[in-house]
Amino acid sequence: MNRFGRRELLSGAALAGVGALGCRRGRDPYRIDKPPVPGSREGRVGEERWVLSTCALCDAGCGIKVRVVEGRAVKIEGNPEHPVNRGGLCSRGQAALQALYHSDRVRSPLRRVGPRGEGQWKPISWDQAIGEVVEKLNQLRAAGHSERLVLINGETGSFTYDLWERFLKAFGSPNHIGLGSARAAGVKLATLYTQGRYGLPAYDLIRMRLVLAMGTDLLESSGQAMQFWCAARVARRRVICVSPRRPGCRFDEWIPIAPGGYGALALSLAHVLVCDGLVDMDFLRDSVAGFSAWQDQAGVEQPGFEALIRAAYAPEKTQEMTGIAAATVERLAHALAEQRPAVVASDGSTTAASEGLATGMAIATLNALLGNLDGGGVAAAQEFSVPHWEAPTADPVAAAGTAAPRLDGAGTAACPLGRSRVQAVPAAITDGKPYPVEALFLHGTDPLTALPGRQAWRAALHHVPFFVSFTSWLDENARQADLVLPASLPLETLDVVRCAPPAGEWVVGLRQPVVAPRHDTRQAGDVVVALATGLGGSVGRSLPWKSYTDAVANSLPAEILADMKEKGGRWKTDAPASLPRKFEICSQAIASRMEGFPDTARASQPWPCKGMPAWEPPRFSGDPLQFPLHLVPYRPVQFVEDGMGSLPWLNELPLVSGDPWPVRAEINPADAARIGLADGDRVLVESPTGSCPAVAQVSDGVWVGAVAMALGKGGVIDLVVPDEDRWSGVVAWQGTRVRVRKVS
Amino acid sequence: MKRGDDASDSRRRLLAGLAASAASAMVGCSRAVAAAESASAPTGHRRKWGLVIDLDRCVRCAGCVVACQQENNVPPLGPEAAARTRPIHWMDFLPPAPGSVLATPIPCMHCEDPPCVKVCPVGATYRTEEGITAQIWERCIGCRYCMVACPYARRYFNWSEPRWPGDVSSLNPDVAPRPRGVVEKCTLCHHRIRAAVERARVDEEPLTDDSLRRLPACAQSCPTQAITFGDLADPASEVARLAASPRAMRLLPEAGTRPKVIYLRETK
Repeated sequence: MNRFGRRELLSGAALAGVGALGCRRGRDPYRIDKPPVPGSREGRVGEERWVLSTCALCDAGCGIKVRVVEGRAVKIEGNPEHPVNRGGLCSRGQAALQALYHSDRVRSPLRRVGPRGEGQWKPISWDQAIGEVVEKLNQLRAAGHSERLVLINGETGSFTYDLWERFLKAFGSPNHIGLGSARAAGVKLATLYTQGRYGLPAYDLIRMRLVLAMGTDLLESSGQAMQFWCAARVARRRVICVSPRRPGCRFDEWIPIAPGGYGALALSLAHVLVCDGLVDMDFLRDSVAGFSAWQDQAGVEQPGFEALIRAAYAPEKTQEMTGIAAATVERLAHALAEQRPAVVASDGSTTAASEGLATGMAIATLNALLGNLDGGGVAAAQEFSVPHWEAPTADPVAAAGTAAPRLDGAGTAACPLGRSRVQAVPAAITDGKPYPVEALFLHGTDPLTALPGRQAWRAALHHVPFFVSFTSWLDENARQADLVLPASLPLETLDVVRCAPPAGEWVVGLRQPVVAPRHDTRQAGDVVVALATGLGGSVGRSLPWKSYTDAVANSLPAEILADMKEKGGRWKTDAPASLPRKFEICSQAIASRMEGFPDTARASQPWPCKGMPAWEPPRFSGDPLQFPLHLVPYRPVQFVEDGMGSLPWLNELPLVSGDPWPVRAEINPADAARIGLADGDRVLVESPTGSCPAVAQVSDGVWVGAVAMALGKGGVIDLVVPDEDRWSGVVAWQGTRVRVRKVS
Repeated sequence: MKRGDDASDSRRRLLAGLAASAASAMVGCSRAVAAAESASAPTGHRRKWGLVIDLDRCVRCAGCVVACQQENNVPPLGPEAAARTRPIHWMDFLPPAPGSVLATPIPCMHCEDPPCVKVCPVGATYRTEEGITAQIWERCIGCRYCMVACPYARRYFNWSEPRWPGDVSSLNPDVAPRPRGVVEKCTLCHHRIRAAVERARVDEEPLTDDSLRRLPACAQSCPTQAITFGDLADPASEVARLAASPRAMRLLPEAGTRPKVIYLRETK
C-alpha cells in the first residue's frame, strides 16, 4: 500500500468501487473501466427509482422511500405523505442501509460442524436446512411433546409475528415468547389492568399544551420519539422531562429524580391534585372505579384511592424517595392542572423496576385524575385487525401441547399478572422445568446482548438439544446454534406492520422488497410456511400457502394491497380515539386474576391494597456499601436492537463530546470528585454480576449517586442484575447498584 | 503516514500533469455549472445559497448527520480513527458550550469571505458564483492550510483510503468518493442543487423557493424541519425571511467571514 501513488488514487476516485483498487495492479493506469458493482446486475444501466416502504429499526413504523439505482439501494429518506413521520427520518432509520450491505451478514444457511461455540460452520442448502428442522419437529410431535418447542421472538407488530403465532398454535406449543417483559410491558399491563386494553397508550401530543415525560427513552429512542419531536418543536408544546439523566434530545425543562422514584412522584402528584381539588371530578364520578371508598363483594368497606393518597403521599413524605422538593411537585401538579390539556407519558424505562406495574398504574391513574382518558390526549394504541386468515386447525397433539403450561411461567403463581417473561426462560431450560425443552427457535433477537443474565442464557443455549437461530448476523447466540437460518432484512422483504401513530390515527405500514435479497437468505415468514408445508397434516392445512407473499396476499383484499404498495401503507387520520370510557384505579381485572391462585401464593406476598397502585420503594440489587451508585441504563438516540448496534454510522454520531465509539459512563461531578475522576478517564464499572470498561464523562446531567450508561454497546448489559417485578414479570433494568473505579 | 520517496515523486509528476489536464477540465466544468445555474435565475439576480438552522426546532436526533454521510459517500472510519479525532462529518455537532446542555449542528458555513479559499496554494477550493465554498478533490494536494484557516474547523482530511463496511453498493453514484490525502468538506449538496436547477430548466418551470427548502440531504431528513435551504439573495425566500429574524445569529461574527449558514437562537 505504501507504493500507492496519487495517480492511482485519483483514477480510482472516478470509480464507484474504490475498494477494488488492489485488483488494478499491472494494468494501464489511465484506462478506466467501470468494475461490476455488486448488485448492479438487477437493474438496467442508469435505471433509478424510489420504492416506498416502512422502517424497521424501531416500533414507530415510519414511512420511508428508498432510492434504488441500478438495483442498488443508495439512500433512505422519509416518506412525506406518511402520517407517522411526515418526511423526516432519524439517524437509525437511515442507517438501515448499512445493515443491508453489511459484510458480516450470514450468506446462506449454516450447519454447525464443530463443538458449540467454536464457530465452525458448513453452508447447506435451504431444502436441507428446512428438512432437518422438519425432521426434528416431526419427532417432537410423534412423541406427543409438541410443547417442548420454544420460540423466542424479538419481532412484534408484523404479519410475520402473527404467522409465527399461528404456526405454534397449529403445531401445539404455548411457548411463543416475546421480549415484552424486557421492554414496555409495564406500561402495557398498566393499561390493561386499568382500562382493559393491552397496548402502549397513544398520545395526542399535538393537541397538548404540556407534556410531562417520565424517562428519557420517550424523547430519544422510543417508537413515540418522532411524535415527541414534532409536537415539542413544531407545534411548540411544552415538554418537561423527569428522569435521573438529562435527555440528549431537546426538552423544555428537566427535573432530576432519584433512580426508582417515578412511582412515588406520580402518587405525590396525585396527592396534590386531589388535595387541591384539581382533579376532573366529572370523569372521576362517572367513569372511575375505586377513587372514593367502596364496598367489595364481601361487603367490606374499602378505603379507596382518595383516602390512601391523602394519607400517605404528601410531597413532603415522598421527597426522600424522589429527591424532588415538595415545592417542585406542587408546581408541577398545578402546571398539569392549569395548562390543560396536559398529559403524563411514560415508557418502558419508567416501569423497568421491581415495582414496575404499580408505577405504571400510578402514572396511568394520574392521567385519569386529569381527565385525559375522555378524549383528552391519551388513547389506546390502535387495534389491528388480524389478517383475515381462517382459524388454524388443531389436531389432538396440538390441542394437548397448547394446553400445557407456558415455559416462562407467565400467568402462573410465579408471575400472576404478567403476559410473558422471557427472562425466566434460561432457568426453565437449565432446570428442565416444567418440562425439558427439546427445540429452541430464536427469531430476530440476541438474548445474550439484549437481555440481562448473559451467563444464564449461555448455559441454557448450551443445554438445548436442538437450537435454531433465525438471524442475519453470526451474533453471540448464533455461535451456539445447531442451525443458523439467515433471515432477509426488512429492505429485502414484503411484510405488513403495525405502526405507532399519534392518538386518533390509524396506520398500517407496508414493507416492500426494495432490492432483491443480497445473499441466500429468506424472509422468516417464508421459512415458517415451508416448515408447515414440510410438517404437513393439520399444521400444513393451517398454513396452506405457497409462500409468505402468498399468505399476505391472502390476508388482504387485492385492491387494498395494491393501494398500500403505491402509498407505502394505509392510514386514516380521523380514526376516533377509542378507549373505553372507564378506568379502574382499583383493578377488578387484577382482583379476579388473583382469585385464580391459591391463597398461599397470595398470602406470601399479597398484592398491595388489592389492585390499588400502592407503591413501595423498589429494591436494588447490590450491597449499598460495596456498590454505592445506581446504574441508570438508557437507550440513546442511536439505540438499535438485534445485532445492528454496531452500525458504524450510528457509532460515529458526534452527539457527545470526544470519541464517538467507546462506552461511556456518565457521572455527576460530585461523585467524580469523590472517586477522583476527571472527564475522559478510563474507568471500570462493576456490579454484582459483571463489569464493563468505560470512559468517564463527568456531567451535571446525571443524578448525584447515579451512573448513566447507554444500552446497546459493549458490556453494559452485563452490569444489569437480572431482577423482575414479582407481579408482572417486568425486568428491573433500573434496579442495579454499581461502583466505579479508575483504571490506568 | 510517512510517504516514501516514490510516492512523493509520483505526486510531483502527477501535479505537473494535472496542471494542464485537470485544470482545464475543472474550469470547463465550473463554467458549465455557472452557466446552468445562472441561466434559470428567475428574477435576474445572482443567487446566494444559504442555510438557516433553527436551534429552537432542532431536537438533536442527528438524522442530518447520517443523511449527509449517506448522500455524500462519507466513509465511517472506525474506532481507531475516532480515537485520533479523525472521523469525517460534513454535518457535525459541536459539543455543548459551557452553560448550555445541547450540541449544535454545524455544517460548512459557506462564508461570503471564506478564509480557506485564500490560503489554498493550488486553487483547489473556491467560491462558486452562487456562494458555495466548493472544493475540487482532484486538485487538492493535502497541504491542509485550509483546515488551519477555517475558524469553524469544517474541513476534514482523509488520513486513510475510504472504506465502507460491506461493499460499495450503497454509494451514491452522484458523488465521487474522495481518495486518501485530500481535504473534503460540505458542498451544500451541490449535486442536488444542480439537478434541481437542471430539472427546472428542462421542464421550463421556475425554480420555486418551496421546492428548494428541503433540498440538501440534511434539510430533507430533519423531522422537525429545523434546517431550511434557499436563496438568501431573494428577499421573498423563506431563508431570507428567517435570516432577518431577531433570533438570527452567525457563528464567530468577529472573524469577518460572513457565514451564509445562519442560526436562529433558542427561545425560552
